[in-house]
Amino acid sequence: MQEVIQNNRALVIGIIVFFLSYLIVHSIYLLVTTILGSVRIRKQIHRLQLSSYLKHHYYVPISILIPTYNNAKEVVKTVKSLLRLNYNLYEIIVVDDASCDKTIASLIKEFDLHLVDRPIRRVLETEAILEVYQTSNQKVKITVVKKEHSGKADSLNVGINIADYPYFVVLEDGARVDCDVLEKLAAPILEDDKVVLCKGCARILDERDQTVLALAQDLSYNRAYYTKDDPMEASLFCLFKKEMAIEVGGYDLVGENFELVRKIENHCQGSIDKYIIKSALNALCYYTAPKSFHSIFKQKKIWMKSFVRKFFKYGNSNIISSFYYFFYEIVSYLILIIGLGAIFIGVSYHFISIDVMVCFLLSYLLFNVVCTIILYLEMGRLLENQKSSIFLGKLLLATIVDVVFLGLVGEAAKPFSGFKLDKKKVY
Amino acid sequence: MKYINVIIYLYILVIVALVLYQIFWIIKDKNVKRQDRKIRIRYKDLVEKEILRLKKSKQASKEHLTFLEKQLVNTHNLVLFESVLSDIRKKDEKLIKEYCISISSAFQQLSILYRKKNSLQKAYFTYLLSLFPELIQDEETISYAMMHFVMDDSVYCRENAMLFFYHKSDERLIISSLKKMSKRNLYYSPKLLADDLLEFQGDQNALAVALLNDFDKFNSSYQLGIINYLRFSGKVYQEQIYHKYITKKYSKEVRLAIIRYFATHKYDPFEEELLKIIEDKSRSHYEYRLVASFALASYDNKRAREVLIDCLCDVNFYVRKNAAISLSRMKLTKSDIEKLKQLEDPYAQDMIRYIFAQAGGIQIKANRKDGK
Repeated sequence: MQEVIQNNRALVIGIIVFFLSYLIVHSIYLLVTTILGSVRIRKQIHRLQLSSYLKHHYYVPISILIPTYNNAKEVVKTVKSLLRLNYNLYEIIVVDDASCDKTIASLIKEFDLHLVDRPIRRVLETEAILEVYQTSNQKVKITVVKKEHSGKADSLNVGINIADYPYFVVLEDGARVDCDVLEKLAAPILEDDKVVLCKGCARILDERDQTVLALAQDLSYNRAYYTKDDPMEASLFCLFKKEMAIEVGGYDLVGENFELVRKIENHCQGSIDKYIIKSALNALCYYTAPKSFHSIFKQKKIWMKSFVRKFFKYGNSNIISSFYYFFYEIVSYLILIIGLGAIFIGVSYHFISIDVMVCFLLSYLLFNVVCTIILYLEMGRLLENQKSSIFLGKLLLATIVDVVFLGLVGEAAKPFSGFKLDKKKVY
Repeated sequence: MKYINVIIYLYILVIVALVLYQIFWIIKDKNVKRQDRKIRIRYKDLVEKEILRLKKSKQASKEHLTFLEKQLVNTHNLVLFESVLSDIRKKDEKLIKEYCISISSAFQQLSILYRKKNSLQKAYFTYLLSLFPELIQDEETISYAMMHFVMDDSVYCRENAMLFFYHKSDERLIISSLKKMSKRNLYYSPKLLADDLLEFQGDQNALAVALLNDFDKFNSSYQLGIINYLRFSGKVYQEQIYHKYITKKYSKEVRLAIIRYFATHKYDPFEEELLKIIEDKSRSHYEYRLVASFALASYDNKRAREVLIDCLCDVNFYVRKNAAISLSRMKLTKSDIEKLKQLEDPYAQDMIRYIFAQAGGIQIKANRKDGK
């Protein structure tokens, strides 16, 4: 074995050089996107200071879709919080994927729903709808649909079929939003009627004081939004034009927004008509963080499965993005294993100095930590309700947890994600 | 190996630069906040002193005007000045109005200077004027400088300049600015336009008549906004709008908006048009049918009810739905109900059942000769 390695010294060093170059390219990408992200945030702060936004008492009507499965308590809380929105015209549609718990019963009791025999226009093909409940006794119309168990993507397509309004957002059961979030998401549509998609920002909600793990995930979502190094996290919360969603065929894999965003982006790029995709940096949706590394691992597995299938099915018209996503998302774990393995061999057989390697890797990690903290602090300037008094030590620890441990969990999930996808088990 | 060392040093250099950048911004932000507090206090004192002076002399002092012209050229100072005015307005609106009128000459100068600034700064200037329209009194400034802001590329600048015009009582300014914007194809959301026109503080009837007279000079997006405004304005212009519908060729969206107008404001001669639209069953025509079937709810007579019952079997879901909604709002006779019961189309039956249940039951017209 020793002889083989000695004979392949050049190969080992070549792999190490490739791996270090790979990390350097990633650092350059992160630096550029951090600077651009900071510039975007500063511009947005400047615009808000100069009141450069359209304030109107009426915007576009929006349907809020909430797919749910066996989460009765959280979905009731979410619907209650949505009734407090400061928005004139919206409706709430909960789509229950044949839950085994008391989801439907809880919703009926809480919101005084009654069974209706409602005709539904099935533009998108879905599984059978079993029951439809409605109420007009609340501040806005609430519709609850019970359907056959067939997964989140199908649930969302049912929601699209049943939605009365021309725009929709998707919320997880358990998510929370600010009272004026719909205004912020809808404002770009008043500025230009060609807007078909507006991306908000997802953050982590921790109702008790934020734990380090929750803060780490919050940092991860924030970084992903600006650097797009994790396209799943960057598209968690969006406002879609219903007609466009139908035109591209709705959701078809796991029911994550990323799928629909990718399809719409591809459609827009290939279309003669001019479509616009906008971002609303201060339109926030808060998600409940997975509480353990194991839950995060499961979540990353599902997301990666969907991302890989989506990448190979729909591709990406931008070559640079395709290159980045392939090498830094899909096969990154392979490169990491091979690279770290080569470094270990190189160090063991004295091809390279351990001090230099450790310094390099620590510099790389520190660089990631600094970029993440910078984006978080910049976002804190934009948002009034972000806790700006987070103890610096806690922020630093959370960033290290994010960059090192969540990064490792994310990479570890990739080889286990596979290609086989059970759409019914994506909740 | 030395190359790796170089890269490590570069990493450290960039990290230090990023950290210093953040520290710089944190210190700068703190300084700016401290400065702003001082400037606000200073502006507040000056404005309050000037307001006290105005109670005696009725004219702003030249020093005060010069001070404002020099200070408020800076947009950041303008933001602070606006916050001071807004705070004082919460206590006494009349006082602030008088003060704004007294300093209008300074803002006349500022409007010339702000024309040369970037769109964001112009947008803020017009935002301030939309909040305090008394700041510009001079007619020439209004027609010249403000028209420039209305033609800016920034949608915020245009919207704020238009809001300024809506607070003035002269509909000619609005017509003139809308025509110019329309000619340059500057986007003005029809929803915003309709709502903003309703904010007009002057004679709404004069505005509506002027808009109708020049209707054909606007592009279809503006025409759509104008029709929607007329629909909600509470005034009735059925004859003029009907005449335009019949004689002129407008875009599909405008024609649909006109049909919706006649849903809100019933006009008997238009009923024939609605029936003609519904009877055209071509697939490409479905949007007209669905809006017309909704509009027919206002024309409660035997023929309209027959046509709507027929629409319940339309291939288009929304045509069926709107027909059912319209029927639920009408007073149905026993023979209408019989016809509904005899419909063989299961989709039609589903729709009637659902819509009528939502409407709380069927309205039955008594079949009595005395009309009761």
